[in-house]
Amino acid sequence: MASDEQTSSILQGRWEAEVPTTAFLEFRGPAPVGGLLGGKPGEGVLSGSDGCNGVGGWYAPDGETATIRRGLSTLKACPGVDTWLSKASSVRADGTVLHVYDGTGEEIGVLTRAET
Amino acid sequence: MAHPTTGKRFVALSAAVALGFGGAMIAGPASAAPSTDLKTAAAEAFTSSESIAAIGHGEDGSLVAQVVAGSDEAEVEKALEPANAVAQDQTGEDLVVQEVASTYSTQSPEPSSTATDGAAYEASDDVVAGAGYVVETSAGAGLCSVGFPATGPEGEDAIITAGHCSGGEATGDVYVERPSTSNVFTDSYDTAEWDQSRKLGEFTHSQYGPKVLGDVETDADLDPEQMQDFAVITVDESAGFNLIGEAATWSEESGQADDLASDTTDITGVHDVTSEDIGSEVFHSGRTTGKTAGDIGWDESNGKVSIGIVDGYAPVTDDAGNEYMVYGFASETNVAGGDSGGAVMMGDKAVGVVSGGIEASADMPAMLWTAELAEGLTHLPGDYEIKTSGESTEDPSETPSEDPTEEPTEDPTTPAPTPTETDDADVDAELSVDPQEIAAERFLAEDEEQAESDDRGVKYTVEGVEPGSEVLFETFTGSDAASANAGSEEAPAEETDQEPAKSITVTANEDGVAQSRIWGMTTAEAEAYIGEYDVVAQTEEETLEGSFSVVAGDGDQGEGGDEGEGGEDLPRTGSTVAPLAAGAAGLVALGGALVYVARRRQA
Repeated sequence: MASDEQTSSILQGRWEAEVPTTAFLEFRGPAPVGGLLGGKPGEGVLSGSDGCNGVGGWYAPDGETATIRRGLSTLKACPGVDTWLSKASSVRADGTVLHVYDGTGEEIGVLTRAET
Repeated sequence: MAHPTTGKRFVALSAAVALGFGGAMIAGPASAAPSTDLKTAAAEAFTSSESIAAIGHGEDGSLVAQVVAGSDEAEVEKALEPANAVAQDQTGEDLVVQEVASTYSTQSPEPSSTATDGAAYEASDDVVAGAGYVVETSAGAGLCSVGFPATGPEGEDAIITAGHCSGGEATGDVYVERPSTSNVFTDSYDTAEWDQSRKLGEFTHSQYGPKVLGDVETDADLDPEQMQDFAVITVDESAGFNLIGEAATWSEESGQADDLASDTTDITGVHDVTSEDIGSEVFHSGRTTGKTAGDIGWDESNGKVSIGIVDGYAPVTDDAGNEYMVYGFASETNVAGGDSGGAVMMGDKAVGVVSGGIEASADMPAMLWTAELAEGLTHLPGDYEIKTSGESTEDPSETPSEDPTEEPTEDPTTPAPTPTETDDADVDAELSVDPQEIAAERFLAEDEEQAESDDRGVKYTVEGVEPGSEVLFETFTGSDAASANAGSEEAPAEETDQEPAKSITVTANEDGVAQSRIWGMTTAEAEAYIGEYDVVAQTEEETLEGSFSVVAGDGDQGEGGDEGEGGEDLPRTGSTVAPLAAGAAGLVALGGALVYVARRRQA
C-alpha cells in the first residue's frame, strides 16, 4: 500500500548513513489520506532506522526538501551506537546526498542515496 | 606503533572514521558509494581472514582497514593484498591499517565486571519493575527496562517485558544494569554498567507483531493475537535474585545507592484499560527517563485536540524500519530510548509495558504507546501472574495486602463472595438487554454523550443484586458475528475457549441496579458490527445470560442477520472499508473497538 509511483517527490527511495551503517531513511509514496496510515493530504510514508530504533512516520515534500512528522518507534538504548538520525526533523536533497536537519534547523548529518 | 603486519603504513585514525557497529562492514564516503573495486577487494579480505574488522574510506580519500590486534601476520597481509592494490590504484597511497581490539561482534561498551576503572559492580539481589537491564543477543547488546516481575506456569520467577527488546526472538542473556549509571542519573548512554558476573536470566518467549502495517488492509486484519509486544525473561533462580512486585520511583537516593527497591510504588494487580480510563493518568518506570506520568489521551491544556485511544493498534517501527503492529493504548507520557519494556502503571495497577514512543516536538507533546498487559498476558505461553506488593521470591509466606486474583484482568479488590444464594437477595437478579435487535447504524455512536442522548447502542441492566456489589458484564461475539474481527479484544480461534470481546465491572447502586452500555465506535463502518452477540452478567452470586444482534439497514427487517457467513467473509466491500481512523499523531485507532460506559449512578 505504501509505494505508488504517482508522487513527484525526488526524495523517494532509500538513503543510507555512513555511520551507523544500519541507519537509513526510506521515503515512500503517498500515504492513504485518512486511512490506515493517517496521512495528511500530500504526505508520503517515511520509514527508517537510527541504528537502534525505528525512525518512521510521514513526510511532506516540497521540492528537494521535506519536513518529517514522526510516528511511533521502539525505545531501546544501544550503547556505542550514534543515533544521530533519531533527531531528523527535515531533509534537503542535493544530488545523491541528503542533508538532514534537526528541529532547530541545524544540519546533523548526511545520507547517501542507496544504489539501486 | 608495533603491528604484526609488515610493509603497511600504520596511521592512527581519528574517531571520525568510525565505521559503525554490528559486524564487519564496508563504509562509503558521503559523497559517493564505495567503488565496486573496493567492495570486491573487501569481500575477498573478509573471506580470507577472520581478523579483518572493517574496510572503508578514511579521511582525505584514504582507504582504511581495521585489523584485530595479535592476529596472524601473514594471513592478514595476504588477505589485504587486493584492498591494498585498490588503495594504490585509487588514491596513490598504501592502504591504511589500524589495529582494533576485536571485530564488531557486539554494540556494547565493556561491562563493568571487566571495566578497568572503578570497582566491579555487583548487582543488588532485589529486582523491581522499571529497573534497567542489558540483553545480549547475536545482534549485539541493547538496554531496556524491566516490565513486571511475575510468576510463571511452573511457579518459576519471570519478568514480563517488551518483545522487541530481544528483537522478537526468544533468545538473549539478561544482566542487571547498575541504576546509578543509567541515563536517569547521568543523562548519557555512554555510562551504562552492568553486572556480567551474574546472569539475571534469559528470554524464553518473545512476540513482536508479527503482523506489520503492510498486512493490514481492512479492520478484519486487526488481530490482537498477532499484534503484540511482549516477552518473558525466565529468571535464573540459582543466581539468587529476589523479584519484588513493586515499581521503582527512580528517586535520587535509591538510584545513587544502587538500590531501587528502597523506594518503590506498590503493584496490587492488573487493570484492563478501557475507554472509561480515557483522561486517567498513567506513569511509567524505566532506566532512561525514570518515572514520568501523563494522561491517556492528549492533554487539552496544550491547546491540541484531545484524543484518547485505548484498545487500539499502532505500527511501532523497529531498528530495521519494520512497522510491527502493537495492540495497546496511547498516553501523553515522556519516554526515551532505553525505557522500552518498562512498567506502565495506573495508580497501583499494572496496565502495560513501554512499546513505542514519539519525542515531544514543537507542535506535539511526547507520546507513549503502551502494549496492554491485560491482553498481552492472555497470549503468553502459559499462565503468568504479576507479582504484587508484599510477595517476593524470598518471602512467599508474606501475605499480599491485596488479593492478587487468578484472572489478572479485573479489579482484584472485588470483595469475596461470602453471601450465599439466598442471603440478602430477596429477588433473583435479572439481566435485561435493550434492545435485543438493533440496526447497525443505531449501534454506532460518536461517544458516550451521543450514545446516551440518542439512546444509541445497547443497554445492559441487572436488577436485584446487593447494593454496592460488583457485576461483571462480558460481551461475546457470536460465531457468525462480523465484529469478531472488529472487537477490541479478538475472540480466539478456538470456539471452545472464547474470550469476551469486551468486559467491564460495574458496581451496583443503592437500589441493587448495575447498568452498562455498549456501542460501536464510528471509526468503523456500521456494517463491521453486524452479527450476534452473547451477553454474560456475572453477579457475585450467579451468572445471567442474554444476547442481542446487530442487523443491517434500519433495523426493520428481522431476517437480516444471515449475511455473516463466519468471520472471514464480511458483508462489506473492501474499497469502502476505511475504518482506521487517523489521529493527530497518525495513530491507528481500531475501528471496531466496542465502547463501554458503566453507569454507576442511580438508574
